[in-house]
Amino acid sequence: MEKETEKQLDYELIKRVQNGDMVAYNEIVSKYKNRLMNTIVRMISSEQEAEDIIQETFLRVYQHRDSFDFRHCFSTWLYTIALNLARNELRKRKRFKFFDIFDMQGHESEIAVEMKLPSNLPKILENAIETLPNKYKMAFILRDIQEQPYEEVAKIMNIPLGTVKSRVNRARALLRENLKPRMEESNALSKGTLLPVSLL
Amino acid sequence: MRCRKVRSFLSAYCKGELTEKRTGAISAHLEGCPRCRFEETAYREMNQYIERFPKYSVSEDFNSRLLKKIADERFSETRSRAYLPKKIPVLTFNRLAPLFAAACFIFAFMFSGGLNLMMDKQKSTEVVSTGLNDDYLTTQPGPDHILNQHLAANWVFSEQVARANRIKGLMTRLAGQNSFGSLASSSVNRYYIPSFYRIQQYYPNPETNSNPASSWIREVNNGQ
Repeated sequence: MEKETEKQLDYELIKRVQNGDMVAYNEIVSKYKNRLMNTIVRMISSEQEAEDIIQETFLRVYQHRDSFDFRHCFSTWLYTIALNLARNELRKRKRFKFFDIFDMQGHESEIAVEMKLPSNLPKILENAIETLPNKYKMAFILRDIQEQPYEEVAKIMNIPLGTVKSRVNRARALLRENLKPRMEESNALSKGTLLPVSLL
Repeated sequence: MRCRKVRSFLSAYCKGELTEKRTGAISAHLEGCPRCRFEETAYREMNQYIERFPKYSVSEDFNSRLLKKIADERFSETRSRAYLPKKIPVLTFNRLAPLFAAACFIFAFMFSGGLNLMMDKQKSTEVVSTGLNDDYLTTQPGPDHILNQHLAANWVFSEQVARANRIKGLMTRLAGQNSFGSLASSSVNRYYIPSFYRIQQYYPNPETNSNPASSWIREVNNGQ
């Protein structure tokens, strides 16, 4: 019911944008900018580039406002544009790998120690999500982090519903595998059977 | 249910995404299996970490930067509409071919004497008295369709002779110039020669007759 109300509100706003109402456009931007940021940052692991992609997304929404099909959900359309741009960015990165030497010097050992700490499980989990294959990562982020319904995720990614469920399940299992040694370590520490690294 | 199958459903079970029947079956299995219960705890812990993930947000000047881009976009839209066509017409062979064909047709029509024909029809056809025997003018129209047309249009012999001479001279000059000229002259000859033979039918003995038609026939026969 709430979803339907939100859908109707989006339709009203986009109709007003089609009639040239920039206040309605501003409302759409304010409503979706942070949601998109949360999704895209996790996809491409860079806040600056994620912001550029979201700017480009909203610009394209404005350019093609007249071609929006009211049979579809507006948020689906918005996410589709944003994720396609993110996918293009990832493909570009595969071709040209840029490394900033100054950023890497002297920090590697710190990161390695940080990752080994069992108390840093949320950070480990975030890094594990970044290492997932793109197709599982996208499905997982949309379903488990953005809490989009499976049907919406299927429309955004343009894949069958069963495939979405399978990919989300696979992503969860991979993350669980990744976290397993750390979680067992954490459990052992809490039970007192294992000493922390700093005391060794 | 076996452990392997239960573990494949555990992540969805922890999220509450399964049917009631399956949820019941898994719950029953978990009561009796500590290893699967450990896995379930791990999944639930993972879900808790995910819920506590930091929320990213855009920078403060995001809206202003976006609106500036939109303003530039709107400016370029209005500018292009005002000064530049959206689509520049592309001249392709398909578009030019009919024009080319029409130009060829007009050119051929002009050189084949079509213009002269049209001009002659507009000229006033006054009968010029030459004092010669005009009996042929009252000749009953024969079954020949083209000859009937000539007779019906106040056909004046002297004018026809003068016109034929002009055309003959022009065709002679053209035939000597280039291949198109010879093509044009042969098409004219094809038009006039049948008329010439039809007139000859009415003057079977041009060598002995003294009327202008016979003299013209003699002239053509002698190649003058």
